[in-house]
Amino acid sequence: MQNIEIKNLTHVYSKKTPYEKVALKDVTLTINEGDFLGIIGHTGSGKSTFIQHLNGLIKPQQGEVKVFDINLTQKKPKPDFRKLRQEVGMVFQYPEYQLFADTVEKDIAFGPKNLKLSKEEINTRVRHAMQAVGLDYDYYKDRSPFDLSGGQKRRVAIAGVLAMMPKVLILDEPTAGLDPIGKKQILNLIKSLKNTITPTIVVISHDINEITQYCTRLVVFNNAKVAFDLPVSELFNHSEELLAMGLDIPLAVKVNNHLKANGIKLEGDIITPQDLISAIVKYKNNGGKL
Amino acid sequence: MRDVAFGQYYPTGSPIHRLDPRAKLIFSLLFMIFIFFAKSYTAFLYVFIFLTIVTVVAKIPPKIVLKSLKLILFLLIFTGLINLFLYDEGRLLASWWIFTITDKGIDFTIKLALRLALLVIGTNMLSLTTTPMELTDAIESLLKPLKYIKVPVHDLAITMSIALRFIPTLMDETDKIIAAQKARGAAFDTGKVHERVKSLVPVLIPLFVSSFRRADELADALDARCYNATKNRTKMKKLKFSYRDLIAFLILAVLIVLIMLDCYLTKAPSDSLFFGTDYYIVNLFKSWIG
Ligand SMILES: Nc1ncnc2c1ncn2[C@@H]1O[C@H](COP(=O)(O)OP(=O)(O)OP(=O)(O)O)[C@@H](O)[C@H]1O
Ligand SMILES: [Mg+2]
Repeated sequence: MQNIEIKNLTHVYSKKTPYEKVALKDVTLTINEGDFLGIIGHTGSGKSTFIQHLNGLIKPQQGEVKVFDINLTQKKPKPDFRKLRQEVGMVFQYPEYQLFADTVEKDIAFGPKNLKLSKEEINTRVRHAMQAVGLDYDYYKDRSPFDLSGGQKRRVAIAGVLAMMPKVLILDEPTAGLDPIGKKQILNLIKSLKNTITPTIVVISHDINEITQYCTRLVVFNNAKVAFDLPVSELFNHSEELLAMGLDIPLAVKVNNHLKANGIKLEGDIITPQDLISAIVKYKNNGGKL
Repeated sequence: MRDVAFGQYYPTGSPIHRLDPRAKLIFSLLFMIFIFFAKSYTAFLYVFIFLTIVTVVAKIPPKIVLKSLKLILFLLIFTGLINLFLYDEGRLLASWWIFTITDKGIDFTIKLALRLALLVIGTNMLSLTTTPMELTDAIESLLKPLKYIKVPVHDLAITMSIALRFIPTLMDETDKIIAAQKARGAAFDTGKVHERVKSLVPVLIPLFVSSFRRADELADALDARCYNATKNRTKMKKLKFSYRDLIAFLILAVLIVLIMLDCYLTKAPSDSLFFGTDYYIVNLFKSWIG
């Protein structure tokens, strides 16, 4: 089993200056192979800081980080960052802002090139990655990434990470700033990646209705600490606490809570609108009244 | 990175931080000028005491104050060595090939190093206690008279403050882009020189693209709010001299008077190694010992 293990991780920005800021405090978390993990938490709670530890962009100050068999805490021999960054793919917030090459193809090839792969291998990977994100290779390969729409740019950026063939894919707010259709497309893309290319996926999101559509496990960050780490079906038993942290709960959960308060008991876990609809249909078929 | 972003501003809210920035700017200029009249060790002692008082009142840890010396340490040592070995006036103490060490050479070297160090520490005090924004305001205010000869002082000031305002933003942006390209396997700190220079392209291009985007957005935002730089504008925070500035000036004036007295009123013979008040002190010691 290949896991990512984080133990008692603490991170302080601008240590020992007046601008000191504790971004992570004693965070312990295991990410298992095959997890579809969602990370939520209000702004500044340390989510981005946390995920940047997972591919060595931030070195652990205190605590342990182990990604598969790479121990990031050890000093000697130095951890193999090249291998780490190949295995853990990271898509940052607004990834389209990192595009730089004059053609889509060259931009996507940047990662594999850094891995010093052969020309043929690079080309196959670029084709695969573009196919995975739904961009037609022949149509897009010679276009400038700067002339594409926001959603298309984001696909190119994600393809650039996929071309590294990571085992784990981490996405920081992948749908931020997109229109509803663009959001839906990226969400479907992520779902399909889970089944085809990267078995383990970690997604940060501010949109609780969105993230509950596909994640199976949710981690809640609050004030630099992990407040909850639960399967989606159990997390919203803590609705009160989540609301107190300033986080939203899914619409279906709200409706269900409301119904419950009015004496209407629906069966099963209700997280998404689909859950709610089928539970209500079932309730009616069993002769219940609304 | 964020350390650079605020300049070196070290917020403590001390009376020195609250001095009028124009006063501080003028004081710094005076300090720079008059430190060149400090020619004896006694005068350097006056300056040292003055800076100690400023540091204590400003509540800035000495370690932070001395940090500025780190940058010029190389310069200090380099010029120090050159002066020490190549200065050839005075009594010869040792010599080898073209290198000579004389008593005047030692004296000159120490004084030069002291002057440089005190100069840097003193002027650095300005940036430790004043935000870049305040400085811009101060410069604008002091340059106001130039308006009458049609220098666009306000335009220059607003350009400068916008530039300053965007330094932290660009720093953040650079951090993010570097992280994103590193995540795609880019290496910035290994390889030959030309490889390293080439590795900057994927950072610089997105940085330029986003700078232009920001500039566009900012221009639109300014226009949308009917910004007009040519009319007489009022300020939210008006600069005002207060009694505090007067007290600070008096203290600085004491220092200046002491230095000038030491420089011009003392009558050490020109062939003596010691200058100014030092001469009397050394003579006093000599007569003491007998
Ligand atoms: N490079 C940095 N230097 C100093 N402080 C930082 C830096 N990056 C983040 N911080 C601070 O650390 C805290 C955690 O930041 P982080 O980016 O991890 O939050 P986040 O949970 O990702 O927030 P968001 O949802 O807004 O993206 C914040 O208070 C932030 O101001
Ligand atoms: Mg973030």
